Amino acid sequence: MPPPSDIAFVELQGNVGGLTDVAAATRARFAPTRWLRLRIPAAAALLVGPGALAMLGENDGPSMLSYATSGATYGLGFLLPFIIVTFAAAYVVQEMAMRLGAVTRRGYGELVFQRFGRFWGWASAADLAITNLITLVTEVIAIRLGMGFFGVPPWAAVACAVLLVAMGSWGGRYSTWERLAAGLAAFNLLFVAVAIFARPSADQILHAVATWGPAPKTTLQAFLLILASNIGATVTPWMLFFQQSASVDKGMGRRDIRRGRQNTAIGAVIAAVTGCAALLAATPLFAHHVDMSRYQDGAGFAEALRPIIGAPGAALFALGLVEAGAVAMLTISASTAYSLAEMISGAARSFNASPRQAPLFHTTNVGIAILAGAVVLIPGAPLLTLSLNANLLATILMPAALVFLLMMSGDRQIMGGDVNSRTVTVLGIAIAVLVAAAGSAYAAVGFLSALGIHSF
Amino acid sequence: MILNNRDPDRRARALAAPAPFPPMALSRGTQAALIGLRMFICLSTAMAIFTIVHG
Repeated sequence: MPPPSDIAFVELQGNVGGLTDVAAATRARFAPTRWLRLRIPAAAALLVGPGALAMLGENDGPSMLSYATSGATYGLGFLLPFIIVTFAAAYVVQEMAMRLGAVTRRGYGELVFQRFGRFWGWASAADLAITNLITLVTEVIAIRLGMGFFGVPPWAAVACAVLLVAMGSWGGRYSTWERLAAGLAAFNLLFVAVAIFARPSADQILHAVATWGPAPKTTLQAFLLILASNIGATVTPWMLFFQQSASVDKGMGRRDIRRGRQNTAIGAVIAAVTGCAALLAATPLFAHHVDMSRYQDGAGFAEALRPIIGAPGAALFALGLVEAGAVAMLTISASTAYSLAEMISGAARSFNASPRQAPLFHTTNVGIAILAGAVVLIPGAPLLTLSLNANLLATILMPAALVFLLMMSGDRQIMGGDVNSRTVTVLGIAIAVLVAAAGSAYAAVGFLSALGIHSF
Repeated sequence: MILNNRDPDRRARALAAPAPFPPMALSRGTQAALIGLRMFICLSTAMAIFTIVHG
């Protein structure tokens, strides 16, 4: 019997179930069609890939609101460089996921299932399903609130969100889905435009980045909450599942790892810039001592900013919210679909397969979006609570996913020569420990305060 | 070339499912650590939910 590392790299052999037929049909289907193809210039093409989509998808509704809340509540200071560092951490984690997918040609969920057994496979999938559903609800809320700024009724906004995900399933090609998501993700740069309208001081920005100050003046509990929320805005379980599975769906192999790294790094830089821009865009609210408790929802930021930075800036903020929610709807629904299909042996799990060829995959992709939309339309649903705590939940659940990622990408038996270097392993462990500490510290301090044992 | 995924062979490769990896034998210590981590996460989640509901 050949060693497992050889087994892993036998391509198109030992196929399971009807997947060989699907592959052959797909090869025949796509080979002759050369017309109506959108050519992407080589430089721009570097932006289009699972790495950039994971990073920009994570600049989603609750994340941008979390950054804006940081700016509106604490102004320019500690949290600006903190956001940059969290994206550096996200790069380390996502690079591991990309490399693992390119080398093993398996999604994260499938690999956990095969290497660690059913219990850990289903536990990982359950974590993902819970956080994804809650996060998707917040994405629909962001789209609803952003479109609400322009007078679009809630039901129409929710329908648009669900239709977008259905469009992604319609194309029958991974590349079509990827370009749809990447085209939308480009509008994440709207937050940079809003930041320009806000006219932040270059001196203050440089001072904040250089000194990590001033520190937020608040209670320990509130400080831990904003830390955990900002970490959860950058490093989350769905990103791992998505990037690894999408790298497989894109057909990446070992030789593509260098380009995958470039794509992930470019995505991290752009996402860090736009994340910081969201914080900067909201700093005028801090400077003008605007009481944000009067604006208890996401659209409130646009409303609150309108008299300070003008109607165009406020409108761009609202549009940015719609974009943030829309891209995340696509990527998070996809990560749910990948992970569920990977749990079922023989089930096709690819955007290259049509809905008829991969019914479970496409049904899950659209179904979870419909479910999230339905939750948002329930009268009296605790939407605000969900919005504010989606990132916190992601931070608390992330360490489990990180531990398996580190174990698998550090496993020479499956990674061969592309196993984690010592530096990556140390960085990965440090990130897992810090994420676990941030989430659990907030949970413990908040719990004790809620019990009245100690006021922090 | 990862970015030119119109290549039909690449698409076919993405659809193919290679043979499964053999399970990794976890030592008792590793299993205990993983279960401990899972319990820690469950506890943190429960405390966070309590804080959100009662905070």
